[in-house]
Amino acid sequence: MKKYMVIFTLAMSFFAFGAEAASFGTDVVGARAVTAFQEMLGALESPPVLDEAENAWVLTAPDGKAAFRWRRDTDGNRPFDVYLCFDAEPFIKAGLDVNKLPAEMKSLLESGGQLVLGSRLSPEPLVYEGDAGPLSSFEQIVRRDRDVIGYHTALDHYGVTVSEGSLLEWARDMSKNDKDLVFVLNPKVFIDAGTDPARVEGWAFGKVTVEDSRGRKSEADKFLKPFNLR
Amino acid sequence: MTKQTIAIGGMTCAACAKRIERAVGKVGGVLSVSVNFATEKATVSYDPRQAKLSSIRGAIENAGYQALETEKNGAADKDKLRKEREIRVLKMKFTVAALFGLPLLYIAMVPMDPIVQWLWWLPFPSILRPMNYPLNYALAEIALVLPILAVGYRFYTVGFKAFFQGSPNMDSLIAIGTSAAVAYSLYSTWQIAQGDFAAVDRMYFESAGVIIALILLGKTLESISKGKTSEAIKKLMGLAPKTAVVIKDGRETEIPIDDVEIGDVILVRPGGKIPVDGVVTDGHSAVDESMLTGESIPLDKKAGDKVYAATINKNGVIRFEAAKVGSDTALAQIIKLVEDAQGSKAPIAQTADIVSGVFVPVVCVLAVAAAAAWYFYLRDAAFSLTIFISVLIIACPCALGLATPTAIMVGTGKGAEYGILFKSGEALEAAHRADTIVFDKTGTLTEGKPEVTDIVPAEGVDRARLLRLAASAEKGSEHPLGEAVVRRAEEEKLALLDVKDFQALTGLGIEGTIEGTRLCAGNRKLMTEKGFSLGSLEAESDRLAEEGKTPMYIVLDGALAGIIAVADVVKKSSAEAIGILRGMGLTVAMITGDNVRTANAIARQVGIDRVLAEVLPQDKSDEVKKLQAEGPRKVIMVGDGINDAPALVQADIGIAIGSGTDVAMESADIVLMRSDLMDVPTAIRLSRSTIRNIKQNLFWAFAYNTAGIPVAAGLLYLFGGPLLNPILAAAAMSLSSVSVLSNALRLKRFNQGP
Repeated sequence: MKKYMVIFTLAMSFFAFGAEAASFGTDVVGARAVTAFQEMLGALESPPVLDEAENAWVLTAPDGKAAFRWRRDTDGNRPFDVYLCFDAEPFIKAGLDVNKLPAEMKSLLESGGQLVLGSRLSPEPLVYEGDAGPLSSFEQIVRRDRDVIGYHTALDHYGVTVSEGSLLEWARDMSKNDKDLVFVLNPKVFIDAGTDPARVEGWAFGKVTVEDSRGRKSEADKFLKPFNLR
Repeated sequence: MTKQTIAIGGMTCAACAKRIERAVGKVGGVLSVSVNFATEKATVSYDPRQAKLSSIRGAIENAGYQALETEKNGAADKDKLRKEREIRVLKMKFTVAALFGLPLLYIAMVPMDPIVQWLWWLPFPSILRPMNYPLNYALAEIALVLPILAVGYRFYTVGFKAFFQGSPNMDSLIAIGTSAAVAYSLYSTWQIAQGDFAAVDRMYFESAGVIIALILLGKTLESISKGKTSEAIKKLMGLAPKTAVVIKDGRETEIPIDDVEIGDVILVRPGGKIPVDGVVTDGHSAVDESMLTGESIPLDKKAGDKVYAATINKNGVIRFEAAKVGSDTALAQIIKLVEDAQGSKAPIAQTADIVSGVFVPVVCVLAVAAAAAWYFYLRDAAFSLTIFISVLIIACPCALGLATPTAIMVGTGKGAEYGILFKSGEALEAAHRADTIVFDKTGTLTEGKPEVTDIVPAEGVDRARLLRLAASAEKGSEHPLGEAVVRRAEEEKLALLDVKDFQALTGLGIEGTIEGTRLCAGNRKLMTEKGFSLGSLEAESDRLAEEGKTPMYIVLDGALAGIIAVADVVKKSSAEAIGILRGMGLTVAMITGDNVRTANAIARQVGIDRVLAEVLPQDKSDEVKKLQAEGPRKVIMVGDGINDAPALVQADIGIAIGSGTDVAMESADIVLMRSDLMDVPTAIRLSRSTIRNIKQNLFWAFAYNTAGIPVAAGLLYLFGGPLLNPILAAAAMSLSSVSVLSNALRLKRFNQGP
């Protein structure tokens, strides 16, 4: 019995230490997500620009109606570090009562007519070894806040979660995908605020097979704004 | 010809037994080989000039199994230790498999499987989340499955060896099924590493790991249950004491039982066990022989009486001379008899053997066909793999292989407990088919110790002289009737005379010359053959015969001098036993050399309506043959004497009763250790119960496989029904073996009573 207990202990130790040590080296999703993100950025007609005031990189959708932003640095003082901004008008036209939305979603409503969905990341500053470009900022975020990145099997996409159920997704392999860049919104907050999802222009509303981080699959309603970049 | 029994390690199913039989059968000089999966022993008959034991053992080893010790003294203990070690090792292996299998199942099922989605609240390490860290997830599963595969390595070494040698067994199915799962999962892991993260949904490490763990669990339970099936023989083996007190040069010395030699004088104190068989030389005591005969009343033993190993000396100090030691003692013979029976195959087992032999290859073909059909239908390799694994795993025929031998083991063991020794599985099976039972009269239905009841001298003949002369002549006879006459003369203190020209006339009587007088004594047939007239004693003779007494006619110098009537007392249990047998639907007959009237009188007393009287010993077997031809009937013959031996052999089943001769016991298929005829219906009931149990086992084993394979092949799924998960298939397969064993163990509850 002792022999088997030793084998068990050694194997479990190997497994625990091995998994811990290899956590980054074996993080194929994290590593490849950054590479695919780079390819996606390269395929955009308008590359990301820096919003100096917000100290955030801005990836604008090809139709100009939505954008994904991520901070060049995080200090814990701003409401969001990764966030989606999108025109409020189509939702308002579809019955959205903006007064019913949480305040943090309306921070850009008056100044730019946009709604915002986002989340904060770790407050520690990002550390750059070279240029602090959009890709290196994104890579730093992936390394530090790895859990915001995931893989979406149904669409063969990587995704960065900006708030519960809302994310920016990009294709793992753009040559095999007709949805290279997709803005995804969780419709619940809009529907609760009076939006008729079928009437929202510029966003496709439908059911999508989604997985949580454990891989459990389910069907969920989503607003989608997909773009084929190639 | 030499016959050897070799213990075998590493067998997992009936197909293994067939494989070993084939391998050993190919060794030149091997005449026959029979491998019993339940006892894990091979019985090999071979010509020692052509075959060597080492080459037989080599053939077993080459087939992928372990040839353990050849049976000899002490092998039983080693066998027991080996079995205990095997159970211990299996338990450890299962423990390791469970320790790694449970976390493997946890990380595989909690996040993924829709069946257990309600387990969402269970904690799950973020670093293993399959959608975020698929490679970590895959590597973790590999780390957990490796130790399980390591403890289950035997499935692979034996299984693949058997498969590539063209005789796949249960291990082959497990090895192929789980290897396919592991290989496909490794390929999926490689795909994940290459960036195809969807491959995380196509991993079956948990199937392989949990299947191995469940089968190890099944094997452990099977091993424990198998041990229970042979408890009866273990009990017998445990009866013999380990030491004996031998008196040498007037001193008492305690020596190991193996050192006792024939002729040693052994001392046994009250409460002590008799160590070997022998003859009492001094002392008087009551000896409890219930462990051998089932007879609960202790028997008085005095100088000249036989004592047997393992019986218990109750209240007096006795000394006895060792007559049989080691494997020659009655206990050793009984153990050998029971072991041989447990190791033998009943004819009903052949069906299971034939099916098991072709089952595995057929299943392999079915698994490939089902998986290929689904692949062409759905174009989903993962789904096809599930079908392939499920079919292979659910179809393991281990339950089929256990169905018959386990029931035989429990049945024969239970019989031994009651003092009913079935000499083979065939005997156990055949007894249930019998529809007719024939009893020998003297010593079987009756006590076999007849007493003189009447002495009727002819006119002018002195009664004492008649008895004296008859007893003097019968002194040389071993016939129970003759012994009764001698006893009576001794009781009347008559001095016996010397006999010249003594001759036993088989089936008729005796003749000889005493003090110049020619004496002839015997039955009515003798009178007829010799042409002696009964004269005035004919009426007296008829009266005695009507009363169930056996008239013995004494002829002196050619003239009838008188009749000595002898009556044998019917055993107390005879009438009840025959009543039960008739109630069981058997036709009961009696066969005897006695005259019709005497035979009828005894038959009336015990309730037998078919009497075969005045049958000469050499004709008994012909009478049995005639009975067999009626109908035809399946006939059981119950007897005790040398003269019954041919009839015991001729009958479909011969039952020798315990008080009988060695020859009768040698010729019989079933030996009753006691003289109680109630054991006859018990033996038949036990046979019927065992065969019923075997049929139940075979039904469930067949039904399980017949129903399981189509479900595993996705037949129900095709029509919108459920699909069998390979893990559930493994659980069901293991449970099927355990359920068959549990059913066989139910036989242990068999009761002696009607």
